[in-house]
Amino acid sequence: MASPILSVRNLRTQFKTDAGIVRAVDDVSFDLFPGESLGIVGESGSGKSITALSILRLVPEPGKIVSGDIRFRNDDLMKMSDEEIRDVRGKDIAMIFQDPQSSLNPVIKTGYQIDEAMLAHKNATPSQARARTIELLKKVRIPAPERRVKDFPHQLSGGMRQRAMIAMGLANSPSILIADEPTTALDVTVQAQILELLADLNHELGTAIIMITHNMGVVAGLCTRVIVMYAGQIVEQGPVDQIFEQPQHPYTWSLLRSIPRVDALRHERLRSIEGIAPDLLRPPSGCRFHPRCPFRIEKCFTDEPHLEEVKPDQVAACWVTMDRARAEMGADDLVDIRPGAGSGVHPGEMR
Amino acid sequence: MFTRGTLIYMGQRIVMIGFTVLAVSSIVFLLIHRLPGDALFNEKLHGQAYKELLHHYGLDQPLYLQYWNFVVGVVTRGDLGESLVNRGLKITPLVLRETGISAQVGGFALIFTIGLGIVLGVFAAVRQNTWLDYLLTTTSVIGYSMPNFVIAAFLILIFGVWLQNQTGGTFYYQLGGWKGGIGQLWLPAFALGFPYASIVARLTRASMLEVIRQDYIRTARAKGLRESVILIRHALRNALIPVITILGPLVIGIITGSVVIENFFGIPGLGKEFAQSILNRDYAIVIGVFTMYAALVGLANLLVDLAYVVIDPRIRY
Amino acid sequence: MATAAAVLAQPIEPEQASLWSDAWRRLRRNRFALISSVYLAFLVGVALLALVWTPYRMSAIGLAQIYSGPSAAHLLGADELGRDILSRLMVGAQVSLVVGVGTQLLVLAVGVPLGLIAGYYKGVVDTVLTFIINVFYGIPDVLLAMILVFILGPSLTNIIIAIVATRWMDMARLARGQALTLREREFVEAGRAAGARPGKMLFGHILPNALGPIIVQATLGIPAAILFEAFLSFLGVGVQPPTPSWGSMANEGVQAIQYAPHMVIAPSIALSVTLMAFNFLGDGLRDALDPRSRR
Repeated sequence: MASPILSVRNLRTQFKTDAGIVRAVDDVSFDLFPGESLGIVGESGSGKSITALSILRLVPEPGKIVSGDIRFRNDDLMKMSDEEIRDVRGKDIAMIFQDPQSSLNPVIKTGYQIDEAMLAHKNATPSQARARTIELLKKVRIPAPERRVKDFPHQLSGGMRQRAMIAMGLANSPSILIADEPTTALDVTVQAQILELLADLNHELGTAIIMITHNMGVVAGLCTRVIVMYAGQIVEQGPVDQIFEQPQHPYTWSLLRSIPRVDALRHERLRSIEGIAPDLLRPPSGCRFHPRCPFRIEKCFTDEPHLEEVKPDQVAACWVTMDRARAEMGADDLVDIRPGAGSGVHPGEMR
Repeated sequence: MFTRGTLIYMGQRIVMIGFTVLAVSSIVFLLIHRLPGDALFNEKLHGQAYKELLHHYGLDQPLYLQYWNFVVGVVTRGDLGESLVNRGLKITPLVLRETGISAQVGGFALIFTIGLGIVLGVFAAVRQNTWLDYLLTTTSVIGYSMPNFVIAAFLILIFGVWLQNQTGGTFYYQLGGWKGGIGQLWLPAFALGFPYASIVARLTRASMLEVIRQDYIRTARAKGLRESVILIRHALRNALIPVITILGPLVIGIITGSVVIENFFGIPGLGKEFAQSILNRDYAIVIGVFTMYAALVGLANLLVDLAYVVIDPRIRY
Repeated sequence: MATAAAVLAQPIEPEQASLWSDAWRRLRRNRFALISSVYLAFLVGVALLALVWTPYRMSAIGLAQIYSGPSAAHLLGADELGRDILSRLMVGAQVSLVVGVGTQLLVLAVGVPLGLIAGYYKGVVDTVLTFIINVFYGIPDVLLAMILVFILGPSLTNIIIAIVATRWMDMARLARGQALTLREREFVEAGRAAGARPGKMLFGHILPNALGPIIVQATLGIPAAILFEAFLSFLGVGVQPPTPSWGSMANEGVQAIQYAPHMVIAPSIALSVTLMAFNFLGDGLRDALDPRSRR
């Protein structure tokens, strides 16, 4: 197997606030292989965006990367100087963001913003850059690119803006493209188009993609491997097909379960996960998911589980795992999914 | 940039300005045209000589006729009349020449104001909450709380000796001769512009602080651009948009502030002329100067609106 | 035993957090605004005191001490006619305060009703008012004020009128803008549906809601008016001697700046500090009343 193009080890990123230290990313490790598309999934506040920002050292104040190393092809990104990391940004590793309306500068023409990506790294002359920009716009399927380059962002539709952002990201043929919820701000039909575009680009260009999203559907459509994050930690990791079929962590299982199905019976209630997102200032003791977990046991309240291999190529951080929950607690037939309902341990209490 | 819509808008505005200037001019004309105690009266002429004088200026005609002649003169020939004190001195060329001088001082003050204000504002924003920031913020409040003639007075205290060399003995330019170079300009321009530089600095700082937190700045960083480039090319243009908003009142403030500064330093510009003419009771010149000022104010507002179009591509009339 | 019914019967009294009490709390925490308020209160005290007592009579000439610097006899020195600067400064405070507050009261009285009516009724009334406002804006304020004072005569009242004539448009425009926005809000529709008379709508409903920015504008208008009066005095069309105004005192001081700098320093500092205090207070009010304030 090829060696990873990106290696994250023990990343910890924290925010110092008046109320205390927020551990947004707490000991996260993973690998990314060349040409792979990796999904990072989690709810708001799970730390997925901050993880991505940490890779390029773009974490905003008052955040700080406290420890960890991130290797891109044998170079430790954490140890680089400001100039070196600027060299990596936009060239070897590119990032595109959630809201293309606010992520593009409203007073600068769209074409120039894409040219800039190349000019900043002295990769081309202005005329070469402009030619390539038009080529890129064609590649991301924007019609009449020669006219569009002269438009300002507000003159483009939402979908076109996001495509332009993707073009900007691909301008220097990066090895890795990080996409932070690129479809969340778009209409559903446009979402599908953008995802299709990203998948095609991934196959054509061999650019590795890290796709950050809260939407399991997006992951299913695009990614080969997925990381599930909760409260700043990775709770499960593995190939997409496997995880979808046999999720081992109760959180993953709950996420998948909560996706409304077209073929569900009318009277079935929508399934949500009980409880609220954890407080990152004072995270729950033991397993951070235990206040909301239907299958918790006593150990979950006190001991923090670590990622262990639960299936070939799949790791999860859980004392129980879904295999056991299915076998011993009748997880598949559970109707009441309140915390502790499956295991019978302190049922209903959300501590 | 200059779409058909914009050009039409400009045309409309110019017409509006024309009307406003006319209205203002008329109001002043009607108000003071024949106030008692005018220069002619003070010459204490009697009888035939006085009558001839009145006839020369058309002052023996009924008011509405005088007004009509005045309006026609201004609109068709740009003729603002003749000085009451200096016989034969045509007002229009006088006023235009003095406007040039005032424009030099005002223009310099404006460039200085905006330039210094923006630079300091950006610095304060980039070094937020450091001692530099606090120093600049406090200085700026002091700056716009002091009347410009007070600032001028303190400048004289500091630079008095140097100033005397420039003006030949006193700090009063009129006596020492006005040559109009930068050497003479900078002190009055500084006094004139400093309060406004303070306001611009405050506004720029606040605006920059907001802009730096925007998503598109994050995108620019993610592209690998240098901080200096991000600041100037991406942040500044957006941050200046609110600053343009106050540009109108700012220019008008400089125009009116120049009245005081010109009188303070004896600079032979429009403001000095205004005060002097009131003193001399030369109402004809007063009306002329007023009309000129109204035109300048209108022009200033129009230019500010155009500046909006240049800076923010989302605005099109 | 407390039954559910008994518990429910007790009304819950949440702390009423109206805009004003919130604003007051925020204002109190603004140190600059507090210091400014203390200073301004002090200033008012001085001005009132000057009504009955000053160290010397403000017009008392003393040829022996002309241009003398600060001393035990004259704490701030004497001017070109030997008059005590401290005493004149105290009386000057009256002038500044009367001009500052007086102009704003008049501006409120004129600008607010005109603006509200124009904004609420729109149509012809609005067009006419906007045109008048634009004409006034086309006239440079110093010039207009100078001419008005020249025509009407340099009394304190006329100076106030002249300043108001150049500043009322800001308030009118503000009130109009507020009326335009507020008239679209639901509570206005509700009021109209309930049959409230226009007068009550305007002054009972719209005005209270527009009050915030209006008060801020008026507060910030005071230092502007004081500054304006200083300009006018400097140009010779301010209050007439022997009444001292800080502006005219500064003017006299500037004439003698080379051999008696203390003459210009005293009124300059008085002006600057007072203006700063009003500006800080106005800023504080603006921040306090801004519902989007993060604190």
